[in-house]
Amino acid sequence: MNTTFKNYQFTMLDKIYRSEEEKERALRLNKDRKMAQSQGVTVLTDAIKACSEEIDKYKGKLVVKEGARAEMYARRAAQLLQELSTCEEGQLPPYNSDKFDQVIRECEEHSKQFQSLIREKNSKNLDIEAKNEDHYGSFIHHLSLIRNKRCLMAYVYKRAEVIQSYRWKVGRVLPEEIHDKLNFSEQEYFKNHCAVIDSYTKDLDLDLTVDVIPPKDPYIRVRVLSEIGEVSLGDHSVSLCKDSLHSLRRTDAEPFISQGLMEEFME
Amino acid sequence: MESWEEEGSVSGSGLGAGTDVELVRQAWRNEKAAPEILPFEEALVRRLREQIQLQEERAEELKSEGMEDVVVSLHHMDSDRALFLLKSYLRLRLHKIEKHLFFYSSHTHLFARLSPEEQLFCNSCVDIMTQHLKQSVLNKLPQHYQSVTRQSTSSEDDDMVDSPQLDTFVFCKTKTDVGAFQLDDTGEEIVDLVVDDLYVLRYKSIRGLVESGQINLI
Repeated sequence: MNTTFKNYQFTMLDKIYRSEEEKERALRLNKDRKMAQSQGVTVLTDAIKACSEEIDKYKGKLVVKEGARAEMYARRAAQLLQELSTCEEGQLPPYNSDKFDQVIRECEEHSKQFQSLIREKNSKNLDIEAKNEDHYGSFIHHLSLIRNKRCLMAYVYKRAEVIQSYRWKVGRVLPEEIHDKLNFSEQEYFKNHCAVIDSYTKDLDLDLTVDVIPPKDPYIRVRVLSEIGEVSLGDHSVSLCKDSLHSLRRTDAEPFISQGLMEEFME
Repeated sequence: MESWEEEGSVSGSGLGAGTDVELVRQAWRNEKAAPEILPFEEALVRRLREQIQLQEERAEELKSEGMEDVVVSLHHMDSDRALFLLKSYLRLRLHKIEKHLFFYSSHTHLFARLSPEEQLFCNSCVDIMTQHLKQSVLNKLPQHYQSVTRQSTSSEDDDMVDSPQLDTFVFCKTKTDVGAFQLDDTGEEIVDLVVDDLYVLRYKSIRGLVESGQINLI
């Protein structure tokens, strides 16, 4: 009994002792942190001071003229691309002509600013190599314009890639809901691209748009989607009524499938 | 496919018997794994197409001779599979061209890897894509920023052309003993390529071996 009590006492003492130690350590840490903080603050204040001195030096010039707005540049173009990238792979959002035109106007504005800054610089009769605030200002406009251009090009190009993939997946005629998402130039592009593929397959005498899945069986099960009637296939003739099921040679069935008159029947 | 052909019970003209199907399959695998377009296997494609044609004719012949349906259908299946392989190979190449249109059309040594039909395809695609980009974007931009391949008139080279990622990793299998092979320019990384072994390496470093046929991509 006695020993147990003693043990208990020891553990209690131990605990108290330890907590004291911890408290001390915490205090020490806090002190360190405070010191570090005050040091950090001095560094920061110094930096701010240096900055404001610098700003004062250039007041009314580049920093104030361009700095605040620069972060806004090319934001719209980035939003345009964001719209595209949040879309599922192989899907297209409707062509956003409003935003697109806004970015185009932004580009024109950049070009105007760029030229006026260059004029301003030239009017100061400086050395050609001299790099004053007008030089850097115009450079910002130049870079923003390029960035906008890259975004717009990426937008149109990426869309065109998705559009041309439809030829392989959907066929020559686009369903209305996809067709409506394209602008005029894109619709034209799709038609032209189909024509290019057609002329390639004609040169080669091989239709690459069929046989997309590796064949497991020379025969496939098909369901007739619309009335076709009596058709002679090889040595026998088949009556292809609507909704009837048949087992046909893949090569016989494929023309009907691509015309949308039949579909492969999967159980 | 090969097994029933090897029994020799049907005919010797089957597609599995020749190695051309096997060669096309390897060309297809290489094409599938390589990030850039590989030289077009013109002779091989021509031979395979002739063989598919023969196989089809043979099947019809057998049918008219009253051969069992199952044998005829096996012949058909054989040629269907070879045809699929061929089409898939050609399709893969077209997709690669579509993806890096401007790059292939402007690099003559890569453009030379395309078949005449593919070159025509590439050029026409460049034309319609250029037209589309001009119509939608470039004509609306300020004067010095209207080039398709350059950011602005002050660019010194084609800085708007996307190129294939050559430093991706590929799985590959050695066909012959290559020996100690240097993976980078500095010579710090050397790997001993033994025959019939599997490796995962950067495509860029083994590019030459793929072209010379010493290594296969899988």
